[in-house]
Amino acid sequence: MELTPEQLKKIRLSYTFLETWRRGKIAEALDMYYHRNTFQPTPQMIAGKELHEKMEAHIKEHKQFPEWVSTTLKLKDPISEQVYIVDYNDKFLLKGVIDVSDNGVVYELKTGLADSLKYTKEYQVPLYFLLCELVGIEVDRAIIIHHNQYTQKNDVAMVWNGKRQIERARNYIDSIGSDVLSYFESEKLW
Amino acid sequence: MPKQTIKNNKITVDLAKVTELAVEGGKFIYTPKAEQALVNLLTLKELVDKSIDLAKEMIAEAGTQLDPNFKGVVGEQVKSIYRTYGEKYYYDGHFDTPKEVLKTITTVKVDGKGVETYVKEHGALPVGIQEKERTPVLSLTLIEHGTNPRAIEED
Repeated sequence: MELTPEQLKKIRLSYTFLETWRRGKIAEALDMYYHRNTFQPTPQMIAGKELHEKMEAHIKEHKQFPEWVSTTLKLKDPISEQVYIVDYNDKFLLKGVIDVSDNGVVYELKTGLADSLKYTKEYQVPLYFLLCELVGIEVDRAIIIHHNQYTQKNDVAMVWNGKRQIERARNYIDSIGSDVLSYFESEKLW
Repeated sequence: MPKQTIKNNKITVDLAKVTELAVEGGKFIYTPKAEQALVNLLTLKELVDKSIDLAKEMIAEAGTQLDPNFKGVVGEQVKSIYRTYGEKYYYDGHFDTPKEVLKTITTVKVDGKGVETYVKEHGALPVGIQEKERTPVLSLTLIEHGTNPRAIEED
């Protein structure tokens, strides 16, 4: 994805970066930002990532969720792993990689122990709603599909897009972003 | 008369009057006529409760049709969670159950009748037994109701 010279001057915010920063793991966030491979993922993270990749590969090839996800949700014309980078304001770019988007619905695929409801409270979905709005893609809801690879059980939750979610996203970005900006400025990283 | 009406199977509720009904119903001790205001309120509550139950059933059905593992849907103002409640497991008394998955709990309960017998005999509460401070709560129940609530005027 080609960025303009102006965009290259901005700080690039993604959900993972912001959430890592919010949790106080500044060094880890910066490693992530500068693509320094010093972060050591846990075996659970590796297993989760592999499962995620397997799911994505299946969707790319078959245009449907794999059978082991055990969902009755049907995709029509899915786009998977689409990367979006868009101007948020004069200081920041907002970046996101949407697992699957299809017909006005964003699908977020999760693995591990925490069920889909947990992710309805977090900020990733609102951030993706905002991202789509800024890119100009109409999205009316997000569906979180969770696969627990330990129990082989799945569950699904839905979040409607709306003003409240967009506001949540902006508040999240603005509050953490201001801290990021201060740090980048003080450390002359920007 | 109450400001609730049924017209063409629709109920119109004047919300300002609902508070008036509550105030009116509060006079039940002083005048039996206040009872009608309470009937109106209780009937309205029952209708609303039934409607909410219906909405819940419909959301659960639609959700599980969307996906059999449906857990919930979050909107702008309402969060709807579909989950089980209560203890997930129970012990069926099998003697081979690994001990590490069970815990023995000893509970002590006061035998209310035993306390009352003791008080009769000794004229005072036994040591270690205290009377709880309990706040009385008023309940309101309709004594009878049919499919056409008496409270609602039909146009």
